[in-house]
Amino acid sequence: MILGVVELGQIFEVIWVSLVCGVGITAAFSFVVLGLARYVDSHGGVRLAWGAMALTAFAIFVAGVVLAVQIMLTKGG
Amino acid sequence: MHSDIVLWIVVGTALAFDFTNGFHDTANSIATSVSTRAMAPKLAVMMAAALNFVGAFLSLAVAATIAKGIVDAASITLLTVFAGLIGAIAWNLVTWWQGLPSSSSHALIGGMVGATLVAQGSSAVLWDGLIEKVAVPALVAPVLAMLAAGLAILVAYRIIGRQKPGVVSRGFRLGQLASSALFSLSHGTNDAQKTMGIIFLALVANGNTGADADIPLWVVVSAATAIALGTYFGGWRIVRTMGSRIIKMDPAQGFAAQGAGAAVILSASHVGFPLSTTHVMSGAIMGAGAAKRLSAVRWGVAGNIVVAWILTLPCSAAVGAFTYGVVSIFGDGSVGPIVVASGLLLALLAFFVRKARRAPEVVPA
Repeated sequence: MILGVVELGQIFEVIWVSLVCGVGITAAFSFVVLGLARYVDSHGGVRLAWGAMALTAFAIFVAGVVLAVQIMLTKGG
Repeated sequence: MHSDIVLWIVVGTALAFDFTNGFHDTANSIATSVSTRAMAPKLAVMMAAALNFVGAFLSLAVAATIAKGIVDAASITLLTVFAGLIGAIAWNLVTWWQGLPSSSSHALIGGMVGATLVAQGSSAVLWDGLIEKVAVPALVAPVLAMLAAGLAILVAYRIIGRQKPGVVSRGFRLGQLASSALFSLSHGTNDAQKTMGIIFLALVANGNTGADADIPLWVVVSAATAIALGTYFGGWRIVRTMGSRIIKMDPAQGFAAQGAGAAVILSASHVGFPLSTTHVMSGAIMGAGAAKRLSAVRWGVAGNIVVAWILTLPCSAAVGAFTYGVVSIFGDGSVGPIVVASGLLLALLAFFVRKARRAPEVVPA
């Protein structure tokens, strides 16, 4: 749908992708911080579980950064 | 001979604009990291400068797009490019002096539009392009970034809960290293290429290269160097405004602002929707503050920033138009640009000498 000279579909895509990615990347890193904080204070199996959660969230965060760099490299191409 | 002199003056002016662009936009990349003490200021500007330099080499596909769709390409001459650049540099310097983050790209577009209006009349300006590339993004960018950062910080606070503040702060400070680096790289891929595009346009307009040729390596290297140097010498007035005058932020807010800001810019880049890095980052900082508490945002400062955004296009256009008027008094040759460039340099020199005698700008410790 085009309103005047602006394509509304493009704007809506930017809006929802930005919101999902912005909140997603912050949430992922927040889980890293939470996992590390609990890992330091816990013992035994619980400690391992928090550590694993922190590592998984960190992997998601790194994947987001790699995707961002890839978008930078391919934009306008 | 005359046009070669004009060409080199335009190239020099474009690189000067590139320097002010880096200088002006240092804040976008490092303000939140410096204010939350994630990085020491000197280290932050060195990293931002290096990544801006690297970013300038990464993706040449968007170079030469700055004036495309804004003014009729056939109407672009060396003198209109020169006048447009002067308009943009003047606005960048005024807003830097006032410590106001404003879009260098919009300033450049404004300068080009003003010069083209005087040179060719209103029919040479593509008004639809102006709405599409400037007006709509200027409305969408800050609001979207504000929303994204606001939601992001609320989610972050909910996840973190009541963990020890020390561990949380250290964690988010580490995250800010990554988000700040990403922002600097993204800035290099965007803004240095606008200058490359301008220099390339000038080379084509002067007949030195064909429109289909690759951008010469010296253009890429000089633009990358100018923006990196500008970033390194950082506009600390704007860093202070973005880092501590809009909100007093904690590391989680700094990370949320940078993360959400980067997500907005890259999502827009991906679909080819041009957003200003400055508008996005300012909006994200306001959003990260307002989500915690509305009164946490100094709305007076935020209002001044918005006024600067609204004034960017008309003011830089006015300077671009005035410059073209002055330059054209001297005809099509090199005398006009030489007179204007010398006048501007002398005025800047006088200003900085006077300023240095009073009080030097203090770089945060």
